[in-house]
Amino acid sequence: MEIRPVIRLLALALTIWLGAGTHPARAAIEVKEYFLGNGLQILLLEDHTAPRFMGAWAAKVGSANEYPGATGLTHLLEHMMFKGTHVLGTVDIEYDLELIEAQERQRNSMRELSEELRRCVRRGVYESLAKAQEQSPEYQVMQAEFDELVEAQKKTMVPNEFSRIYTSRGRLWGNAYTSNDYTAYFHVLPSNKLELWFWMESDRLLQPVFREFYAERAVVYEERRLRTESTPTGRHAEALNSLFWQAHPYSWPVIGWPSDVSELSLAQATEFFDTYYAANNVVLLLAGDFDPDRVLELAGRYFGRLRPGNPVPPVITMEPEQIGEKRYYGEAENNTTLSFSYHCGGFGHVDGPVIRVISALLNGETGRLERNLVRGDRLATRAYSYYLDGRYAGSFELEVEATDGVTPERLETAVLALLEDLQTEPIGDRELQKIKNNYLANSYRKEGSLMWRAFTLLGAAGRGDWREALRADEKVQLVTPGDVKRVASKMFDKNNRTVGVITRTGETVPQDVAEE
Amino acid sequence: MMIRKQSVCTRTFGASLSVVLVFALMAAAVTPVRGMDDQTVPLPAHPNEIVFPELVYNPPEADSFRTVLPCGVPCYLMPSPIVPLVKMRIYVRVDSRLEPRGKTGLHGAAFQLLTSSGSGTRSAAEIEEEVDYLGAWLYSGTDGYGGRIDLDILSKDIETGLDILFEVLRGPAYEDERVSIWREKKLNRLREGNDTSQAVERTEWRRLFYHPDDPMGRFPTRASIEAINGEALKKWHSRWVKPGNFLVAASGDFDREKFSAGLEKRFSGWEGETVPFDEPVHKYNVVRPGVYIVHKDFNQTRVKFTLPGLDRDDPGWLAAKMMMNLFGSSGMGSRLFNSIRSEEGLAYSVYSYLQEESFGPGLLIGAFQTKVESTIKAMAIVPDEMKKLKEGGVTPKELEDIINAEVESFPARFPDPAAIVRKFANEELSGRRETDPAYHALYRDRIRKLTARDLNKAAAELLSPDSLVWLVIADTTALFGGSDGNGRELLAEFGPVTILPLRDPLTGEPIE
Repeated sequence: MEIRPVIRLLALALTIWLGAGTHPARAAIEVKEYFLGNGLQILLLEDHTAPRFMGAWAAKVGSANEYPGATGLTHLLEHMMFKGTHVLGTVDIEYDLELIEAQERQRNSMRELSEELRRCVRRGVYESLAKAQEQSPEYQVMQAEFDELVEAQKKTMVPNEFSRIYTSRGRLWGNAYTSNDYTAYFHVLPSNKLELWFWMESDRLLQPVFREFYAERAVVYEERRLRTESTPTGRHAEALNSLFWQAHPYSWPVIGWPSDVSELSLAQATEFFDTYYAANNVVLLLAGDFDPDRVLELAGRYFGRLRPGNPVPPVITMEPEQIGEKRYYGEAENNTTLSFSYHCGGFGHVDGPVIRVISALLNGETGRLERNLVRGDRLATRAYSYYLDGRYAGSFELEVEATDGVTPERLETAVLALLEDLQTEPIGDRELQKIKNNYLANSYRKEGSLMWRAFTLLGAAGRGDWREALRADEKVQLVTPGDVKRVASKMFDKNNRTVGVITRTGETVPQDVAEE
Repeated sequence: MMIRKQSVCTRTFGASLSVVLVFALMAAAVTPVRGMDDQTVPLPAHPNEIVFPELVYNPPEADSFRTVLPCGVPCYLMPSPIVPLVKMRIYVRVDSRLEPRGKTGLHGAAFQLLTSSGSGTRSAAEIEEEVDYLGAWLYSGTDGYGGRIDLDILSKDIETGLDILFEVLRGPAYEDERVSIWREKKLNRLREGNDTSQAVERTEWRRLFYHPDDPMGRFPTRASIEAINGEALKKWHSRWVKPGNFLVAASGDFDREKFSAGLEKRFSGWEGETVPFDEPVHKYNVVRPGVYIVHKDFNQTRVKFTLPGLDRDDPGWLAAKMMMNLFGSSGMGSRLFNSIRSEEGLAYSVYSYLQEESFGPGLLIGAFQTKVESTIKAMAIVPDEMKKLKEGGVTPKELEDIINAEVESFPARFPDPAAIVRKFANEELSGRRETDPAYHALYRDRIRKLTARDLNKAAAELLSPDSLVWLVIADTTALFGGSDGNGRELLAEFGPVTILPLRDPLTGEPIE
């Protein structure tokens, strides 16, 4: 801890050196990093502007770590982490664990029968596994027996005790999310509840109990219906994503394929937890109003108990080079929309800052998409791009919504011409400077927002390197017009793109005035 | 347990906006921290055993930040030099009830285009380019309290930013081309009106409950959007956008006196009579309890239930709010969430809450989404849970927990300077500054005084299963059929079933 005064001196010296009227290339964000002896990484970001802190941690595991048949497992595990522990969620842990074991025995029998039914589905006897299970008297008897075990367990359960304890102690906000690359858990608490966070989070990492597993699996399926199946373009987006990624595990959805989600087992979740939720694969982040000495003391006492863990299995598969343009056509209850996806470098890639600049060039009120497609040629009513810098690979995405009456072909030609410009014409100094000015201003906005800073750090830490969150803004300041031209030429190659065209169901595609 | 310090902060500075970068990285040696490896002190066996230090928190007082400019515009100004930015919002008291007939959407358009359609002297593109080059944000729109204009800018550029803001605020050009582009975008948004069941639910719920004269009961159509032109927008602007209707909330890196003077200088000379208007109290339709269904062919049903709510000035308001936290507003842990989601696995999103309207009563609303097959089962849980709460009452533990939750989370209402001044501005706009000036100072004490009896009384008065109005967006073929073909009969147990038509989002007329 003796190092802290040194940091302050350094900051002061640099400020003096800067002098009046100058501006840093980005706002200063002071992060301190520690490791426990078991390998657990701890990041601290102090901010005393309000009496609250965000306690968060990320397990460096996402859907990219899954395998066929178990897609959606990471996300389901995230849900299960709220189901309590040996202490929380039951008044009789012995009975609770006995019931869970009995439920699993029953489920194993059901799984064996399901495998027979799956074979029938493949032969066309049933429309789907769900229908087969519904129509199988044997399966229904087993289901009823299982339901009895669930009912019995409820007698000693304390529903949602884990979340209720947080809420009743003044939790301001809390949740978790799963990405392709990592899974994050966070709570924003009053600053006097520091020890509570350490107790709760270490307990669920030490001795979680995945009770109500199959009810929660059904909840996850409802989430899938909500986000994907009951939206006009959800399943098209999944299909398009799988077309774009040929071999990489990014090809399956984070929420999982329907057949997998509805068959995930407690044993799979437990194994996944054991593999990926150990100290060596978890990073803690505390951001806000706390005493760092106290945090480190609590971290040692509570999280020092975690097992170190073994090295996690690496993600081996790399996306092969795309060798030809891919196209997807679909119809939906949706305004005609085109999407363009390009493979590119991912998190920490040397081209990353340049790709951010390209995206910024295209976006916003004065960006090229709005200026040319929306306001200039009036071909689109909505247009934006974004860069997905995944831990294992990246993609550059561009989406445009056609103005009523404009054909997809005409819009596509205009989009591609705009991207062609980036490959052939160097961008002007003023346009580039405008982007850099926005990055600088945003770095201050980030500095003024604890949550913005914290989530940026958490995202980078979850993908393996928190420092990248700080470097990203700086590196943008070094991008040159030549960089933009070079990376655009490489990225916007025809053979590197996947085009999606979704037209409104049943709507005759109109002829453009220009084409008549 | 030893803690190793791997490295410390990185800071980077440059001598101009563009290039010069210096990278400073420090690494420190292993540093043992006192007490860290002390595992001899047993850890609490349960979170209930943890003794928390007291958190003393006094909320900021609105009067400390409020000033009235000589021109009469009230301002909440909170200097905060943490980062070199200024965030300012100008609120304009006006709402869409005042739109002329046939021009629904005018209020929204007037504010959406205010900062993006040019001024008397410069084009929209020129202004946007200048703002963007500064790395600033200047945008406008509407919210529950009327119009608003936001400026977020580096403090070194604040004078330029204010000049631009007042240039468009005082005289937006409403350029024909920008209005025309706005129309195209708006029509494409209207076309999406039936694309998702969520959009259908949102529109039909408003149509069901709000009177056509209420802003929530009015819907733009192709005809009303096409009737909006530059002339109508300028007329709307000149009638309503004037200092007598303004309120300012600003925070950031500025000197309060200097900033006030800058605002006064820019507001001065802006004449014009302020047109008063009534407090925006909602006008509701009388809706017969029962089930209202719109057909939408998806594999998940959206269910929204509604009951009469309460006026936030009602003496029982806080008790009702806490009762609803217990029933369904507090997310994981609420009774409804436990039953529908955790125990039965029937829905991902489950919630209910009491609408807090600034003027007059709001509604009690709840919603969930579930697969078509489990729609009726999930619906049945709602009146069951209402009855359980009314009959069984609030347990002492529940009461303690929800009161603690509200009291302990209170400081979070004031997270940063921008949020604080906006909160005070909203309270003035909503009348609370006048009706309950000590609201924040007394809030925690009022919550602490609530008893189980208060909450039980609120439940008895508000949770009325027989009065439930259900809006269901579902695949009616699957829902009515059900596995036994008796879905419609089962649904009728929740009240008379009415089929509502899907409407053409461009005209509002029922689709055949």
